[in-house]
Amino acid sequence: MIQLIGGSMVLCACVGGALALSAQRRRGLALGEELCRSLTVMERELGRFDPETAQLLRRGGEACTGEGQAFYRRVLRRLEEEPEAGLARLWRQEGEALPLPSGAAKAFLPVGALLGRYDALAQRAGLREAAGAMGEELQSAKEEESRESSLRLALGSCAAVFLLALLL
Amino acid sequence: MRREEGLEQAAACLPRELRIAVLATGADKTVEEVRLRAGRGLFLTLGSGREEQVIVGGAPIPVTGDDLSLTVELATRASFQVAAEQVRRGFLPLKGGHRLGLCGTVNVQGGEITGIRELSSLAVRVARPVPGFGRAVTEGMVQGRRVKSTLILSPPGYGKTTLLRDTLRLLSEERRLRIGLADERGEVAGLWRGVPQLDVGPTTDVLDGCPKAQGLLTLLRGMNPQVLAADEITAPQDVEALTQAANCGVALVATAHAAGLEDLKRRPLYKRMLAQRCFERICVIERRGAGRTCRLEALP
Repeated sequence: MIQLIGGSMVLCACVGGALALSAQRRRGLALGEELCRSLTVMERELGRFDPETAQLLRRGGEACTGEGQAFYRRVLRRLEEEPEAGLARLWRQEGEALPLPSGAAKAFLPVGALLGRYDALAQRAGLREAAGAMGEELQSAKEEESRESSLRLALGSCAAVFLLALLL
Repeated sequence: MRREEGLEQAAACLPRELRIAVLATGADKTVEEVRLRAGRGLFLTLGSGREEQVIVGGAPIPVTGDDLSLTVELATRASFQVAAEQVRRGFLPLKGGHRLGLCGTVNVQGGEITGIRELSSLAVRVARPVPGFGRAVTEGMVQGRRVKSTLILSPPGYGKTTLLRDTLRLLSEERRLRIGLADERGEVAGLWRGVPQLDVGPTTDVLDGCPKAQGLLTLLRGMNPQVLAADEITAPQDVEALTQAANCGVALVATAHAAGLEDLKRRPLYKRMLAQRCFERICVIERRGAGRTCRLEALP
């Protein structure tokens, strides 16, 4: 009986862990999509006007909600408070704290080194490229997540059937 | 503005370590420029024209490409795209009327400079107004409420722009004349976020970054000036615009590269201007030892 209770507890913990991991990954994917969209918004904004970078970051923030918006706010605030740190470093520091899938983070983190350092055309090209690379990374992360979800579901079902068999 | 205040303000665009080194080394010197050269170091151009490398603790201060990029980022408030037009002109205006000259690999499209990438060196040029330099000129120019159109002449580096600026300041401050200034390269007023960083007087309206010929006529039509001013008349269009303005009864103050009246008469560009009697006076700047003097002459 004790073994059965223990087995059930282990199974529940595994299921809980898998669900939490899945939720965290989905959160990262959703955030990545928002940030990817914000890069496209900034690219379009640069095409229409030549806004100052602070204004550009504000527009990027407006394209996001929650964590994405907070990221842009933090970068803006720090850029005003400590301009000597440089936008590239501030962007990277704040970006590293985001729960982005690793491939998407790799495409997103260098964007700070591009913003405000080149003319509008070069920045637009860079933003387009970063958004494209990020989109691809997010797509493959999504597919991987979907595959892993199916695997987790199959494993969980097997474990549940096994447990049920033990119980009966 | 005190000398060290000017240097402090100009050096505000430098990364922290470089700024500290510049202020420590240049505190008791007349620094005219701070030069950053990637891979070669940090240099100060002193009043005598001599360049001195900044050395701290027995070793030259290193300057990297990242230092140059960060300097430009600080100078543009991380908005290079907004300053693209100024970059095409080769320099960025800084708060306080100082300027940041840029050098590197130039992007060219359709024969025109579109930007600079791969910066190799930067020059922070410290602005130093000389209040009172224009007094003799102003007194010779003004008769009652009437201002006699004056052309300031000198070879390069003698202080034409400084003299023009101080003359405009005095005409504005003391005579309360409405002045329209076509500041094509932003060297006279040093407009920064709409505010002149160099004193051109309270009644001077500045049109910045506009080609002189168009600028002079725009000011004439839009701002109803009593005096029109422009720096460095070098193109036939500029002369044409000045001639038109002179015919509208506006007094002119402008500068041109020439050693004197005889030198000016030899240049085909200025012949028509002289023939049209656009100017009634010329002011020639001459070097006397380390100083400068102005000689005012009436034109026939």
